[in-house]
Amino acid sequence: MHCQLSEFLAPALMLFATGFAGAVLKKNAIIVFMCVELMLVGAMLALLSFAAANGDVNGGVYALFVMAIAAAEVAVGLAILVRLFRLRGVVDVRDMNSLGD
Amino acid sequence: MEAAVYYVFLAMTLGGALGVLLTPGYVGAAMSMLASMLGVAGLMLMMGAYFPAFVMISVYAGAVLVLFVFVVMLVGDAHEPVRLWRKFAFLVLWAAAGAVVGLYAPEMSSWAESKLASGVSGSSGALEVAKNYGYAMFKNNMLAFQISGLLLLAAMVGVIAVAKEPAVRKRRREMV
Repeated sequence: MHCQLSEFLAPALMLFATGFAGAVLKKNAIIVFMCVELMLVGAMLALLSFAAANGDVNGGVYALFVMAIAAAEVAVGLAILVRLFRLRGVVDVRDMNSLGD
Repeated sequence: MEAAVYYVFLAMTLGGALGVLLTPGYVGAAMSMLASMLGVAGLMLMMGAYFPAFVMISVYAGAVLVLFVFVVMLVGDAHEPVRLWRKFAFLVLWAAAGAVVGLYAPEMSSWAESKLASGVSGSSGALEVAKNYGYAMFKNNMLAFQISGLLLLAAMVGVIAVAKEPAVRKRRREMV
């Protein structure tokens, strides 16, 4: 397999940028969570491409840890979202301003 | 030919990521994210990281996206009309998958034939990869592995505690 580092770093950077743009701009909490996942995947792809370029197997193991943390994060976040939806009936981040009042 | 497959995976990754931002409904966004994750898994395969690629498919496409769709089911999707392009989106996905398989198939069959000719027992590449992963995970990074397992357990307990309605409030609501 060919392995040019920039070939895999470019999609990683673009994934991270797209996820960041969505996490900042979107108003819907579920979409914001999806964009955070995209950011994590972009970071993981960068990690794996550096690991593959160096021929190191530890990068893959760290990618597995990133996946575990991403799964835990999305589970807790979505549980908070479900609870919030039961309390308030909306999942719009503009309505979640009780702490700012 | 590898360049063509690379660009197919790149287009899936970035198109899916843009689809998460631009699709109006939740389910469409989740499906775009699925396309993006499959593209990322393909890129991982191309860089030679086979094990993370398959874990990526099983964790993200199998667990995280199902969780998203489950929450969408609880919250309710935004009611938008079904557009015509969405019916064709699956056709395009199938066409892309078929193109990838068709492009890779001759190479894979020739690779398998060469492997069979040289004898399977002579080359233990896959076993070597699995052994390296096992050593890296259970020997060098044992503490991190245990801590991430503990984190997952804590997250599971926390999710149940957060998402479950307190029994007192439920009883009160049933009385009213």
